[in-house]
Amino acid sequence: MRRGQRRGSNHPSSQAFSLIAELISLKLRKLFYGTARLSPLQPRPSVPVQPLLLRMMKFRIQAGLLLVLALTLVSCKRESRIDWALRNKILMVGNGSEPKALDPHLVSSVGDSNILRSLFEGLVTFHPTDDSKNAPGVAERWESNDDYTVWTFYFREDAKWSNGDPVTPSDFVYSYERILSPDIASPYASMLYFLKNGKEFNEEKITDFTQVGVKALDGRTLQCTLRQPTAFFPQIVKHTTWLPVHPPTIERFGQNDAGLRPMTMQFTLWQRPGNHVSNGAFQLKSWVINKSVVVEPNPYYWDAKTVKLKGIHFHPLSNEFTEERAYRDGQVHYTYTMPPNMIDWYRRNDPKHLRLDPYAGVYYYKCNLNVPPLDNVKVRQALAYAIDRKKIVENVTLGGQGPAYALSPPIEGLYSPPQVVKYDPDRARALLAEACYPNSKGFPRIELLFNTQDTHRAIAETIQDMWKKELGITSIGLLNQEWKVYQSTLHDMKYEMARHAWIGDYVDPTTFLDMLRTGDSNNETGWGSPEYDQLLQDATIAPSAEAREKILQEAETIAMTELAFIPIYWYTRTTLVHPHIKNWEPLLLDNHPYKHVDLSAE
Amino acid sequence: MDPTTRLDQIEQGTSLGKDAWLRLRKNKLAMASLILFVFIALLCFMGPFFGVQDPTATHLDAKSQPPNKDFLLGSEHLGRDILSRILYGGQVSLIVGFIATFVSLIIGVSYGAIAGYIGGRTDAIMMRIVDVLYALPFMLIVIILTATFSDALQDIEFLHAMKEKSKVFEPDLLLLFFAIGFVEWLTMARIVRSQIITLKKQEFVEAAVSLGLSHKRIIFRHLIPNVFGSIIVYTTLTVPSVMRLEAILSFLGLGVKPPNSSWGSLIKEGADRMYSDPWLLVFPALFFSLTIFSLNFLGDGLRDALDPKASKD
Amino acid sequence: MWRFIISRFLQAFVVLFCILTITFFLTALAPGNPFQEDKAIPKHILAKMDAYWGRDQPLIVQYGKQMANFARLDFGPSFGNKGFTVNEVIGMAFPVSFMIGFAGLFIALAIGIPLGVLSAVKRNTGVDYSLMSLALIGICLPTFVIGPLLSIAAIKLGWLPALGWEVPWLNWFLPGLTLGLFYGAYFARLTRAGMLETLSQDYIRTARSKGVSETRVVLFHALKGGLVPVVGFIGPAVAALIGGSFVMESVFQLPGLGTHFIRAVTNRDTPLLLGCVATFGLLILITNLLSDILLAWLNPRHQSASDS
Repeated sequence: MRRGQRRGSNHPSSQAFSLIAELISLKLRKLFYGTARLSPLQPRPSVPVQPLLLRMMKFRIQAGLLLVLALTLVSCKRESRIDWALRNKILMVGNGSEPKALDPHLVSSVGDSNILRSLFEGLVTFHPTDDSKNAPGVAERWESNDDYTVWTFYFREDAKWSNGDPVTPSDFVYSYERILSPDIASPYASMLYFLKNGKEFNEEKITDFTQVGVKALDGRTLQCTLRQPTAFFPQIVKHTTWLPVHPPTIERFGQNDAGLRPMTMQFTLWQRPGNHVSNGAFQLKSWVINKSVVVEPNPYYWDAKTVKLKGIHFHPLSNEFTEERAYRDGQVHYTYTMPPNMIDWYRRNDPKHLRLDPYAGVYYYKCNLNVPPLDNVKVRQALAYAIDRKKIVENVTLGGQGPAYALSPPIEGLYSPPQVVKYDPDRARALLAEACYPNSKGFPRIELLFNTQDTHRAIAETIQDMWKKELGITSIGLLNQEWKVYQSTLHDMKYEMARHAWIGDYVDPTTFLDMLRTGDSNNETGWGSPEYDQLLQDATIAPSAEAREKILQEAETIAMTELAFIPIYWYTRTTLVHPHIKNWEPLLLDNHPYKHVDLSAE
Repeated sequence: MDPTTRLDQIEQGTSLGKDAWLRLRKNKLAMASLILFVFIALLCFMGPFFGVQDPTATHLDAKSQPPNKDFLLGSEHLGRDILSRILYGGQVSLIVGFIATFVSLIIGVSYGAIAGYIGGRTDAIMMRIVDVLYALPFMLIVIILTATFSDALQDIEFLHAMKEKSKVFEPDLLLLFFAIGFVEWLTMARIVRSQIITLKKQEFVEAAVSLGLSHKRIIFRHLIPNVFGSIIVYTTLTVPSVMRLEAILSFLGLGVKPPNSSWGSLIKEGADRMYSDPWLLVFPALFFSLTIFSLNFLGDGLRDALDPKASKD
Repeated sequence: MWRFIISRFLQAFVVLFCILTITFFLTALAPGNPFQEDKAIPKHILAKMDAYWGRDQPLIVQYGKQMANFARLDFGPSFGNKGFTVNEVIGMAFPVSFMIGFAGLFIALAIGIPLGVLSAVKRNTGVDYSLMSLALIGICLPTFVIGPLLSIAAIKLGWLPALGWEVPWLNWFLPGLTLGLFYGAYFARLTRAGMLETLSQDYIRTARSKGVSETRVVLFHALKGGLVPVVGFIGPAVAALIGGSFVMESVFQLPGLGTHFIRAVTNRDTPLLLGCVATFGLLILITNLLSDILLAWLNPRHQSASDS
């Protein structure tokens, strides 16, 4: 067929196709032969080739139809991820930052604990509706002697690891030795100092682990001997640090050429998916850094029939704004936190997603007592009484937090802290005058330290303003430091006043009050009181819960009068929870046992 | 010359600069841009004298409000006035933008031109140095600079005095200028080098060499003016880049910190909250965009005006 | 040509060596301990950690170890990601950054260069002003503004996942588009500038006076010269695109290299930082080499720049 001749009709579609074909062959000929003409002698086409645009205008109908088709295809919504998750019973959780490790002996943060809680199970496990209650875990029952210093745990028969091995008391003895061994340098081994000689073993004062207070009495019984009477010991063993690891796996992957003990190698490959062995409701399926940690049900778990989920995806969404968008896009059922500006928005527009639950944590300012004028208790009291905490939680943090009138938050049915700290600007001014700074004349320059974050800054600015307005102090400056620099400054006690926070490890006021013991590693203020220490000691041998509460209240009153820690507010967990999630009750420590969680559309 | 031409109609001789200025004046868009830019700059630096609110004062009972009669452009999450934050932030942004751009211009153009012109081994070494500097982790350098020099800077009296006067000046800003200038000149050097290499082989360079002109003269009087076009365009692109880099530093917690503000940090705060409080984003972005637009059209006008071949059109 | 490439390879070694050395000593200067946490760690435990990871040895010894690691291309375990080695961490993250960076580059070139050419050809007309304004909007709105905007739009429309990397074959689009719009704007302006320079050259006038069609003049004669400033910019641009941007990855929750880079600095994770810096340095060297080759190709009269 000669070029320029059209086949058959002038129908736009056939014109279109031949046009496209012509263009393509033109380009190809150009490419390969350097010329578009079929032969240099061929005459130019007799029909003038119309300008391209004009020709394209001829089939606007086709173009229009194509566009409509494309739009229809594109607007067909895919099955949303939330529906996919519902169908497959996969829980998707926003978990804050990327986990440092999936080894219970190497971590100390809340996000890591959330994942480990799904993978491992301790002697005692978490209750679905009340964090101060205990549920049987690997141990089906336990008992203690009269003065709460010796606890015996009776293991269930069918507790198994994810590779089928039975969970035995010697596994736990091995695990406690591992975490307390100084060579593995576990950051949070201090949780096991409850065991007799635990601290000494960790500090290398003794090297024989058999002297530490834990023994496997037989194939199904574990006995723990404690350093001092601890009535709430079952609470303690729920913590992440008390979780067991599988000894054969640790030994196998800890083999090395350097002659180091496999048990205490700080870096091995055992945490990989495929190598990881755990004894909880779930086992590790995959771990892609900064994308997700995926766990699937453990077929050997003794309570596998209770587990309703078919998997959990933990997403390390560290940017809170991105996490909120992820929630709205239906990519997570639950967020780790919420940006304050969206709290109000959800309250007004979509409240069924918003959850503000009390959380056992306290936000406070630490004072370095080596720095004048903070060495004067009246100054500290003046600063503390001049803060309008209600205003802060209502306007800055916006999450329904509780203004803190003491250090330990109230625990229903267990402990009500003494009402010591309050907002009293007149008293504050009087105290400041008594401290020889009338109207803040002569108040030296000190700096309030915090790590770089919007909310910390907002709170600090507001409080700085309050000190200026109520007390007339203008010489308190704000210093924000980058995360590691801030930690350095804090832990080396080079700060003057610093923001800090503490989330409770177990449901008992001592998780907060123990920090202020003389010389405690989390004290770092230079404050100590033998009276306070003695009261805490007395509390351990209190004859009854009521007596104990009274003693602790007395101790806390001392702490809140001395105010080395100035409490600001008590935390709430401000999160978004999808209506599909069932059995997700508010818990003081937010330790949701995943085996009870379900997804359903009702 | 026509004998009837009157003496006073004889054209006066003009210099390149005056020529360029005349051409620029004729470019309406460029002049409008210049006026807009000067207006914004004046607003930022002089506005505070005309009774704008204190940008650092918080009003917790009036937080997160859209524009109203108390807060002309709205208030942010702690109740601070956005208009004053934008104006004061403009001071910071404009200063950072100009100083850092100026530094990067001077260093980058000279470095790139010299490297491109000399070629050979020297060029290779110079460009590899650029590569090394480019690959270094910038954030780490800023952290170190801040941690090391922050205290020392606080002690310098002169800086304290400036801070009292301007309400906005932070000694940390000096570190910022340094750090940003340190990064921006690298790309400028590469662009200039690539242009110079292309031009180097042209005949007018050979002519200049054969005339016996010194290398320095060739580079600075002959080559660089020919790449003015690209330089100006890239300079107008560097200014927003500097401001953006400053915003990213605030994203990472290292740049300008509240209560101080800069356009970059305001835009970043607005972007975070764009779903609930869109005016937090719109107004700073508007100021920022208008400034960049005017600088760019002005730059284009300058480019046209300074083009040695333009008179042929 | 091959001598050129080989000599660049050798230079690459020297450059990487310098980068790693400087970075190592920078991290030694930076205050803060990589193992310190929010909850205070007892001093004796911290000492044990430092001992295990060799941080208590003299700086020169540590430096020697890290350089030996680099020679073996094995940077060892990461301080912050305690289950993985640096090589694995980078190996997981690099393909993601690469894919997105490439998508961004492709979109940027596809948008930017035609826009710039069109602008230059229709200089100082309405088309020019509107296209350049579009480009300026792309420059003015940084990625942390465009990103969330696109993300929110995606949430409302429901066509694409708004963020994450669960479905890579869909997830690449939004980040790629954000980067593409942004860099495309730069390419547009630089192309326009370069084209204007070239179009005023004499040889273009010659071509026109010979009767060559305007399209041919622009596309075949001027474009090569016009792309010169773009090529100068493209080296670092591609390296930045592929190296991953922390802001982008934070906005779209992408498991890419940029996050590791920043986190390594924040956590003082020296092995990971050295690994990232080496990767990034290598990227820069490769992209600069490619852009220099491109430069040579665009301008046939120019001998390879760094050759004798």
